[in-house]
Order: sequence, then C-alpha cells, then structure tokens
Amino acid sequence: MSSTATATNSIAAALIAELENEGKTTRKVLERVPADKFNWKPHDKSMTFGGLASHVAEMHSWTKPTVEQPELDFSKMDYKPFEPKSTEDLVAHFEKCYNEAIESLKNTSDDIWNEPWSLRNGEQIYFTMPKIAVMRSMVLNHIVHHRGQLSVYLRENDIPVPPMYGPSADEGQM
Amino acid sequence: MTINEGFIKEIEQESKSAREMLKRIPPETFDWKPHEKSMTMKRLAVLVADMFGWFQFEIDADELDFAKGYGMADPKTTEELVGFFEKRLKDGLTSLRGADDAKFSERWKLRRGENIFMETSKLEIVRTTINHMVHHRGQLSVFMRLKDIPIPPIYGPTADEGQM
Repeated sequence: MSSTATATNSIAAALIAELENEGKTTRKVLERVPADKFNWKPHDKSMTFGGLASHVAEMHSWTKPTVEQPELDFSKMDYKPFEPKSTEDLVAHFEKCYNEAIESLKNTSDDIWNEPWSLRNGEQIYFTMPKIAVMRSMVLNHIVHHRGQLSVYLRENDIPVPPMYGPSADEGQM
Repeated sequence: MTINEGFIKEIEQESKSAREMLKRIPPETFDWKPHEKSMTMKRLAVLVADMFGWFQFEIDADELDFAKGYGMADPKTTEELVGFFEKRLKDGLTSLRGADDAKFSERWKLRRGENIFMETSKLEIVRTTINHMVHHRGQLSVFMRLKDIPIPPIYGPTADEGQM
C-alpha cells in the first residue's frame, strides 16, 4: 500500500495496492519463461512465448499515458515491441515498466479518473472512456488476461505454473 | 458512483467477451485438454461461467466453506453452458445491486472447516474474483485457439476477428 495515500488519492492507492499484489504473481510467471523458448508458439495464429511475455511486461507502461495524457495516438508513436534477449532482460523490463506505473499513480488525485480518455490513430478514434475504465480494463484486467494465456504456455512446455489465485496443478496447496 | 455501481459496470463489460467465447465452445471439445495436468475444456469453461456467481456468497454470506461441498454444473451442450453462465451472472449481479458501500468493509473468509485459507474484506474478494475470472478466461482463449475455434475480440482484435 502506498504510504502517500490520502483522502484525495484513495483510488490511486487502491490501484497501487492491486498492481503490487498482482505484480508478485506476474514476476514469478515471467521469471520462468526460458529464453530458448521465446520463439515457441502453441498455434500458427498465436503470439510467441517471448512476444506474449514482453506484452505482459510492457502493458504496465500504459499506466503513465492513461494518467498523464487525455489520449494515446498511434499515429504519433514510433512503437517497437520490446525484444528481450534473456529471461533476466525480460524481468528487468517488467520491473522498469512496473515501477514507472506505480510512480505515475502516486499522488494522482481522485479527480482525474472521470476525465475522458481516447485511443486513436490520427482521425480514427477507437474508443473514448473515463480514465478509471481505461486503467481498470485496458491496463489491469488486460494484463491479467494475457498473463492467464502465458500460464497455459508454461504448462504446454512442462514448466511448473506458480500458484496464481490459488494452487496450480504444480504448486501450492489448500 | 457507489462501489457496487463501479463493479457492476465492469462486470457487465467483461461479461460480453466471456459470453461470446462460451457460445463458441462445441460439446465435442468438452473432454479435451491441452496437457495431462490441465483442466478439460469443459471444466475451465464451467469455471469461467460460474465465477461471476461467486459474488452471491461473497456479498450475501461471510464465508465459503469447502467442507460443506461446492457443486459445479455439468453441461452437456453449449446452450446449457451458456445458460449456466447467464444464471450465475444474474445471481452475482443481484447480490451486488443490493450491496451498499458499508457492505464492502465487512470481512469474508475462505475455509475448509477449521482450516482458514484467506480472510479479507468483501471489497478485496470481489476485486480478486473479477481478476481471477479474467485470468481463467485468458486461459480459455488459448484452449479455443488450440482447437481452432475463432476467438472474439477481447480487449482488442484477435488474430481471428476485429480490427484496429
């Protein structure tokens, strides 16, 4: 829990607590993705193991533009997906994106969360939603979604799946 | 916005892709699993379908005790699976609609008899249940891909559908 929580940034404090809590599991999952399997994919149409893992790590960095900007415009971005060379590289990138997310949330006033936020590509607007809905759905739930997919990739490669919301068939018990 | 209103909006939104996915799972794939340690397609799909019903015992009760048993649905058809999802979603939303903000500060336990696995606030357990559902729905999307079932857009387009 953020030590900076006050009556006016209680939403950010709750989001930070959740990021920290989910971050523990995400870190454990990413630490187990082996570099020699980065190019593996379960199906022709699937993302590669390394691509999916990088996506999970990078998605944390969507927090900053959600908090600090009114929109994200793909036409103004020169986005290159992160390409890790090793598992350490992948985990380090996660830590960077994760810490940046927490930093940008700290001291964020509750007032901003109802402001509209748009995802666009130049003239084309994909959606406009309140910032809280963007943070909730396009950032936090979206991370959990792809991390869930990543857990199947681990299993398919006989890599033990860490406990996530409870024990997995490999680890943890109730 | 009250606490329950925020949750209800989010749950309704997240339900859309879950419903669209469940509608596409044919009974021929129910017993399939991608790995010997994995859940079967049916078990995973039933879990996804059930989870938004958990709000019922999270809000209306103060604990879930596995020692008292927990029955899971056993659908034979896609329609039964989707019907189960709709029923559980309705159960969960009904309980959430009745919850005022004070309700979410109450404590909630997960236990098996004497053994207490978790004790937390109702706010925390509802939040975690949404994330937990999204987690298993993500797994289900990989199961579907492996069986060549087209995946509907979830947070954006998939390799099968939707565009940006």
